[in-house]
Amino acid sequence: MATLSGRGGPSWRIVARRELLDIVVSPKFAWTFAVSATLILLAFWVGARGFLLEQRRHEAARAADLRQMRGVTDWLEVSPLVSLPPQPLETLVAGVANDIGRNATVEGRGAIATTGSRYASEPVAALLRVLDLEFVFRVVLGLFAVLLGYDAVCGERARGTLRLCFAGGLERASFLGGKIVGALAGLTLPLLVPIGLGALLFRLAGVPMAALDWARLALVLLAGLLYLATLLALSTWISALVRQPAHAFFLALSAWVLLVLVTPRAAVSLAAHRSPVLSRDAIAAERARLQTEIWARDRATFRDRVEGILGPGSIGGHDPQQRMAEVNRFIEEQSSERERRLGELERSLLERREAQQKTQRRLAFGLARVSPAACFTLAAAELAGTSLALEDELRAQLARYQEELGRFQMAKSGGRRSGGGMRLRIAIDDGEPEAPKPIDPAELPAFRWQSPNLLPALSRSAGDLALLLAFPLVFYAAAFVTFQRYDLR
Amino acid sequence: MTPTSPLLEAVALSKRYEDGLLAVDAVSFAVAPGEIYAMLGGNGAGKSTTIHLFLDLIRPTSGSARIAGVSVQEEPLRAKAEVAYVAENVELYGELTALQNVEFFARLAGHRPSAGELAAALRRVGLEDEAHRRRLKTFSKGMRQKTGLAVAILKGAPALILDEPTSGLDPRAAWELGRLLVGLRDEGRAILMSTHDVFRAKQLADRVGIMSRGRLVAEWTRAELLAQDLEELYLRWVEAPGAATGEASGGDGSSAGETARTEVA
Amino acid sequence: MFGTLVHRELRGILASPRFVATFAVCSLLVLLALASGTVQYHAFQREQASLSALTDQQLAEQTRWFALRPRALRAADPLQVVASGVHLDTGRYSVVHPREPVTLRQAVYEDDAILAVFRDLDLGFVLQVVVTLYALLLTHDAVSGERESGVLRLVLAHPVPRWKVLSAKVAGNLLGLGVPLLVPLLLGWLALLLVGVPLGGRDGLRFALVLAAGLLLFAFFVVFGLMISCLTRRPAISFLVALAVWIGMVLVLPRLGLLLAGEMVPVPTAAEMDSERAGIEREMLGKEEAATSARWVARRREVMAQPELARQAYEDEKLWGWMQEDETARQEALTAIDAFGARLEERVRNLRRRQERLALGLAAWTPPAAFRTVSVAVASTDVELGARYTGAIEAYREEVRRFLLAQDPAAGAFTVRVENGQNAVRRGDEGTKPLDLSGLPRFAPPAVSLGALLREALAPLSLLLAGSLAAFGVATLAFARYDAR
Repeated sequence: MATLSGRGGPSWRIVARRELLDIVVSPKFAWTFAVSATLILLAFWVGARGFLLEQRRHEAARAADLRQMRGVTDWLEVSPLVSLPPQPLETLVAGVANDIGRNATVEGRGAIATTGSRYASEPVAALLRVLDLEFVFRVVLGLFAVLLGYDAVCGERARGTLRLCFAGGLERASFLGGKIVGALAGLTLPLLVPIGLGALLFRLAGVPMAALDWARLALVLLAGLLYLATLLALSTWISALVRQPAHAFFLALSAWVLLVLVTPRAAVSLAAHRSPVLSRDAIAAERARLQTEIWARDRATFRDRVEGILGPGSIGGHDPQQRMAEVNRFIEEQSSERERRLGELERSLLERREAQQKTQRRLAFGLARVSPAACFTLAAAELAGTSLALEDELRAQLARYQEELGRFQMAKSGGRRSGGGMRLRIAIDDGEPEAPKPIDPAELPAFRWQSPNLLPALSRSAGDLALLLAFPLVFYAAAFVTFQRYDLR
Repeated sequence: MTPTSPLLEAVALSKRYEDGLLAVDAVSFAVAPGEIYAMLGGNGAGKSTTIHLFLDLIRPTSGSARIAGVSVQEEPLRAKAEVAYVAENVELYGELTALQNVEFFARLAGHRPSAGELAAALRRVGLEDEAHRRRLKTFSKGMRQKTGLAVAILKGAPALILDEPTSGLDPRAAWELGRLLVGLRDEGRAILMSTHDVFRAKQLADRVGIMSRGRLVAEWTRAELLAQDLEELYLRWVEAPGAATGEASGGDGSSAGETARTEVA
Repeated sequence: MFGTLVHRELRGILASPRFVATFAVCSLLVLLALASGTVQYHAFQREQASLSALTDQQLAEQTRWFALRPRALRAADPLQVVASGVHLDTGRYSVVHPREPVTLRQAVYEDDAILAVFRDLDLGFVLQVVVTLYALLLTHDAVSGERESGVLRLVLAHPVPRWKVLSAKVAGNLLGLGVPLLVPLLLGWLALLLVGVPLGGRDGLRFALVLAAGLLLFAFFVVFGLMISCLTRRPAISFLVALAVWIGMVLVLPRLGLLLAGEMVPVPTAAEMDSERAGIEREMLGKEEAATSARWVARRREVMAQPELARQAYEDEKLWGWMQEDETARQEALTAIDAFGARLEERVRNLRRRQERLALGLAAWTPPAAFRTVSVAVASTDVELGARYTGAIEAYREEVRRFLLAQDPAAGAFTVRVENGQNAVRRGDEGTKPLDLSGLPRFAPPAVSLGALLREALAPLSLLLAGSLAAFGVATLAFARYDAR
């Protein structure tokens, strides 16, 4: 818009000011602003309450998990249930946060399975869906942007004011430029009020927002405003393509339906299945097959070895403790070897799956990005931290935690870890039975979720943000071109 | 007055809106068959409101309108069968052709005209054959007016009401319309038309009524008018635009002013 | 007269460019939705089949009965093509083992989160969201537009009663817009049959029921649009009102329902429950401890009452009985605490169900929600899907448990016991032969009773019909007093 210096001088400013005034005093505006403001504030308020509720649930779940560890005497029997804590922005931009499994029971080693998707456990929420800020922007405000722009040109022509505007020697570019600036201002500036209030409300309700979170929110809102500018530009272009306002409206609304409601879903729905991805079941099956194979062999080896250590003909005089220690060491060696081979297999399969997923995402989202709504959804989720990257990040952090837990278990149990193998109950009958001491759950390393950095999210969403910047420019350029040959009468 | 009973009769017709505006104030007149009665007046004088009272589009506060002796307020359907209406700014159905439009309205009137009769009616009002199959939305204002008149003619009703029929028409089209109206009058129909075109009124009308601020302030026959200057009379009896009760709407007829009234109400 | 009016209405509709545009877009979307649903359906079938094969393979490899962990799989239902409901959010299978709780795992959206980013495009969505919008777009200016253009005045100047004019408009719009909607729907049905989605027979009836509900919803919006047209004077206003209503009914209210229900029926969080339970626990254990102390005081007195030399013997004799008493009392207290905990969970479960029902109920009184209720109920993808399967799988688990117990009462485990000074090694019995699985019960997915579905669908369908009639009534009344000038 800053490049708009027509030869007609500052007259575009006059047009812009008039357009802004026109918009602000119209009943259409009053009504759409009332609805938008209400929904925005509602989204913030609902988001805050939702977050606080989830936080309480999260803490209670952790406490319950610790409680059920009480009275346990063997560290190897303790498999903590960890979960992804609620993120402040996930109630504003839901993304896939409610779909992915957020909990995992972690053992010292072995495959980690995530469960507990919110929508899976609360089907009503899945059916009725959430009212988040992303929805308000993408659907409701998007519709209003379309409403605001569809009669930019043809409406004035129908009212007869188009002729009047150009009777005084106004440049076409200036007129259109002024209309655009005025409409953009009329759409976005008033929205800053409920947005600001909502954000304040959000913070006052007690949601802990770090500086990084505010930065993320600001970027999400920026993406939202670019998206609205895109729809405004599109409907303005349509208003220059068609002569009758009623037809322009119909066309603009159809475009909205197709771009916002249909294209993203259709694109992913149809493309995702064309790019096959190795499913977790298949990986689990492969792993299980290999595991059975190795296990059968290991069992035989184990029997022989233990008999060798403990059976008749063994080295006499070694005390049971030492012999037990040797058995332990052997078991641990076997388990580690087994885990190493299984881990290798799983890693290579997971790598293949990741590569396939990348291809799949590129295809499905690439198709979907024809729609600016899809670009907005993807960018917003990425910036808010609720995109598919969340799932990847969760798994990575769970894997790291498992390493930590494994080291802890080995230290406590003299070299053994839970999970991934036979459950061995080794009892030492040593005369006086010594009552084993219950563990102190507080010693267990806690799973601390590291909120990912903004930079990777920014780089992942850069493409979508660029598209959101390009779309309005392209549509406005098209509008200019079309308007050059527009019949003003 | 003619000895035959009047076809269109307003009997102390009054209409007061909720906000207190007295749009029509005890108007009484009668139109006999074979007569053209022109209602002259400025914007907001009450001409269109009077016509709407005749067509049961609004209900009077007091008084009644009668068509062929039937009270419009008590038996609207019977009354409507006896009158044909040509609105100002005739739009009709834009997506339908001229033939389809006239056929529809003829059927609505209870007739089943043949294709020939439809074409004849359109030709009578001056629409050439090649226009018959074109959609109304491609018609100019004059052509649409003619189509509206064809609809009225096909209805075959003894009375005819026209609201500002010549406004917005070029002189030739207005003259053609006038000719048609005279023809219809000679067939014996009673014609009530509202207009602010003084010259056309002088040319066509058998009787002229001047309305001002909802009241019928003067009424003359053609004979009485010949001796006088109608324009002078008009200006004398009708207040200057600024003092009129209607809003200064730009020449699109009094209906705009009165319609604006009801929105406030 | 009526026929003339309807005929003209139809002509006007069919000749208008926006009708053509609407028909094109809606047909495209219907077919797209069905295509998307079909792709999803086939993918689900494939995944369940491969999971079934995997399960069979894993079962065949087992050598111990109680190591068997069969899986109960959810069945693919062809109606999922039409209304996916919670189908993609609900777990696909559950592991069945006597010692494990039944939980449905790995929902499609959980597994393939990429599909959850934009969610699903099913026919239900197209009918509920897009088609209704177009219904309003096409009818909102039926009356107010004719008023503005002036042709309404002309029609009303003819000897035709107003109610006839309006009824003809309603009939014309329903016919002119409804029949073209039927075309892509029926074509889509045919296409589905051709690509192998079994929508014949009983499932065909279910499909027809969903289509009927969709058409009823469409009819409601047509009549509602006409009603709005009769209540407003200018098409521009008609449109804003219609849009406001559409946004409210279709987009916002369902989500608000959830919100309001959450506020009106607060379900205590796990934290609150825990603290309640802990409180009761403390109280009851405290009481028990106090009682025990009192008992010991009494016992002390008893012992002291004995002659000094006999005290030790007396105490030794009584000790075992006293410890039994104490143990019993303690067990009673623990049982009471457990019972309380169970009641608490029951209360929370009930509250949650009430909240669920309220959320659905609050939103369900609008016609779009009524349609959604019918479509997911008929497609068996309503919110009860998970519960239905969980119940059936629990029954199956019981069958499996009885079967396993009949085979081998002892669960094998590999134990090593090293005894002091004896160097003895003992091994548990684990067996090395594969098991004969021919007798293992198979899971049968819960059956869908057409009668039950019809009963469930009856109320929302009646609501749709009643809504349409009410809108028609209001429209007629409004039109009778409509200022046509």
